[in-house]
Amino acid sequence: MTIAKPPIASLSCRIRKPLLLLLCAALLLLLTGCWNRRELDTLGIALGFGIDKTESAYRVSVQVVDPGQVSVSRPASPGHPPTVLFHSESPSLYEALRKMTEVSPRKIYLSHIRVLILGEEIAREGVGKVLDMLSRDAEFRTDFYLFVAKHTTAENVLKIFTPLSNIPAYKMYDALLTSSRTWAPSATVTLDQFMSRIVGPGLNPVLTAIEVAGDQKKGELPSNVSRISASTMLRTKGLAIFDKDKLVGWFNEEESIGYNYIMNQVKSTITKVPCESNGLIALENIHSVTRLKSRVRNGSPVIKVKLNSQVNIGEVQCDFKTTEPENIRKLKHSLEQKRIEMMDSAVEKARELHVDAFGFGNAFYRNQPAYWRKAEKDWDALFQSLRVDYDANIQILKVGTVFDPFHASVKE
Amino acid sequence: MKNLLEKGRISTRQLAILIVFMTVGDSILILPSLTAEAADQNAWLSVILGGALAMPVLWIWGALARFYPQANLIEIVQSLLGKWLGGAVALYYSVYFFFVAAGLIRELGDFFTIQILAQTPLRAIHLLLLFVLAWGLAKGLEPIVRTGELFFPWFLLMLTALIVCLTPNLRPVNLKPFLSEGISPVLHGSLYVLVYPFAELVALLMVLPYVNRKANTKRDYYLAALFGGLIMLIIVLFSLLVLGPFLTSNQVYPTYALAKKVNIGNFLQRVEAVVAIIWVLSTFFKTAIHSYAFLLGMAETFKLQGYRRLIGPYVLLQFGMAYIITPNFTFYTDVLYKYWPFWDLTNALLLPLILLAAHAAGRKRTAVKA
Repeated sequence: MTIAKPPIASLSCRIRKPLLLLLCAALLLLLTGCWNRRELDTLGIALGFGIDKTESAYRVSVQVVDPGQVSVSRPASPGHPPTVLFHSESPSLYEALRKMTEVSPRKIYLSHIRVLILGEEIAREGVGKVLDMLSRDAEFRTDFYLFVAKHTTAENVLKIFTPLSNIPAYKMYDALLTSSRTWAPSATVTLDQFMSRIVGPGLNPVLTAIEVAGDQKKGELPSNVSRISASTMLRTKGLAIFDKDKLVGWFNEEESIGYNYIMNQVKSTITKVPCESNGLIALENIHSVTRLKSRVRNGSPVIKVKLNSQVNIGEVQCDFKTTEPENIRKLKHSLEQKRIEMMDSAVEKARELHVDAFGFGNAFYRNQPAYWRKAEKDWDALFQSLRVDYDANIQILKVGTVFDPFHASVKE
Repeated sequence: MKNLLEKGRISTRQLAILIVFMTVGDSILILPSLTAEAADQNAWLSVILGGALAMPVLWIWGALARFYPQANLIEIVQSLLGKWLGGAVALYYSVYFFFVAAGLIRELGDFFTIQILAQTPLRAIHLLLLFVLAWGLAKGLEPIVRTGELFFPWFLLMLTALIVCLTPNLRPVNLKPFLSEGISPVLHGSLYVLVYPFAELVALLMVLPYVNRKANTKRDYYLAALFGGLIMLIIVLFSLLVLGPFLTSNQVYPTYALAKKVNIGNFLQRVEAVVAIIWVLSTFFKTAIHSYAFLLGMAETFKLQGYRRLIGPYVLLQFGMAYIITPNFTFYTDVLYKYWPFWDLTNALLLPLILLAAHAAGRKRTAVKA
């Protein structure tokens, strides 16, 4: 038995060479790339995406970067903004994006979105329907951050000129990242995390609130950034509390930090504690870990929040001898009380709004699934009376580069 | 029994690599969402259970291959079941391999058109795939498995890179509560694990007679399947740990979503298109072996001189079939979730068991005669 030889091998060498050449040429067909390739100069690269509600439709605003204005090689022409804002309206987000070509010369490309801003009005109405399109479209990734525009529309937020970082969407992204790492009353929530928390049993999401601080009209002018002190700024302003997909209220600054302590999301922050005499002591958080423990005691649910943290003293405004071990012990105690107060204020706010923003219910779902099955229906009532025990254990490690505060040794 | 149609021989190492490729196959794309849909956060238990259930199935094939070391599945069928019944079953098996291959080609086509090349026609992608497939098949079994050997380090490298880069995103809390709904969802999930990575390995019975058997062949046969199962366990586990049970079950391609999550220091990111090489490779080799099984099966069934003349018609047929095998994406996933597993099980478990029974009965008869 002979194997059937492939046809090429049986041909003579003279025909074989041109055939091989032809084959090589045919390989070029594979190098043509995608069917619908789009060149860079036909793309409108969107960095910020805003969704608002009008009476009967969605109003989509997209902040598109103007490549000519941000390129390194060519200086930007003065007075031209680095980004362009396009908007369109439609009851369907998907259609609204396409309709944008009515005003935009380029098709909007969404893979590089940095921030998604939800207007307050649509957030109060519920954002579930809006998110479907964002998770379905293949161009969207999930690495951008979500914001709620507090007391304003997403469109207004995207219109503001921002100092230091000339693309506002980048400014918001970086500002949020930096503040969540160093100051804590904010949350870096991505689309997939947001959706998981909406559908998760016993979970509710929060988003960072962003507001226009200052005059809207002045902020929309380039002159806003041509002064050393910009008159209008975008500012993150605590957290927005959601009941599933509906915005129901806000955490203020202290409650937001308390929320992040409970959620184990604090990296670094400053906590200030009043002195026994006049003044304050401010401490920098170096490290903190929070563990939630759920238990069912005599048929009623108990949550234990255990906070372990290390801090350094950063500022002393009163006559507080940092060389005195007894002082440090006292300070540690009042700092622990302070942290517990912050966490408790967040829990009280959530109770007031009837939203289990912390996912305490989820802790029971994960650890006491049998109990959760019974409790799930009336978790709202149980959350009101839920016992939350706090246990804070804070170590004060360092006092900075000096011993006692210099002003304490001033002779009166 | 002499093998007339296939002269190539493959080594144990090549067989092992082939098994790993085929176990990972298209399962790496579809298994996380199928198991998570069934068993939520306990899907990883399904993988362990499904892998354990698959071992007896592999043993049954091993037994068949042991009794008929020189014969492939079609020859076994024909010699055990006689000319007409055997011929019918042989034809049925060939058609089964054809349909599995069609499904695999469609899965890759769907993946590309949904996630990466949104407006490229499905058939353009099928055509490219079929070209390479036809080329490999024309060269024969040996070149295909050697190509597998060549690509295997890259496959492992990509996979390892993906897994290592994802470790910062793991959230162990996603795996709780443990077994809260009891064992039945886990059992349901394990069905898919038994079927898609393992039961579809039945095409290996067309390849096993061409393996140069050594002392370690049998051991490596099981080890390779277990290693492939381990890769699947890691993929499912990481999908759950990184994305959580909801997103894993709700994503069409969780593994791709997983790759999108890679972000090391805002520098190493957006690697998903590179990582997609993993399943393009593994699905290609699985498709190649199923296509080979179909061609060889047809040639054996109809007593042809060789299968290479069938490659042209096969490519044309497959080009049509991969396109019409499902009218839309929803139909395909519905079939994959509800019906296809049982077809796979019929061909991978039920029929081989009947063959083993026929073998035992036949031996008894000859023993009585003697």
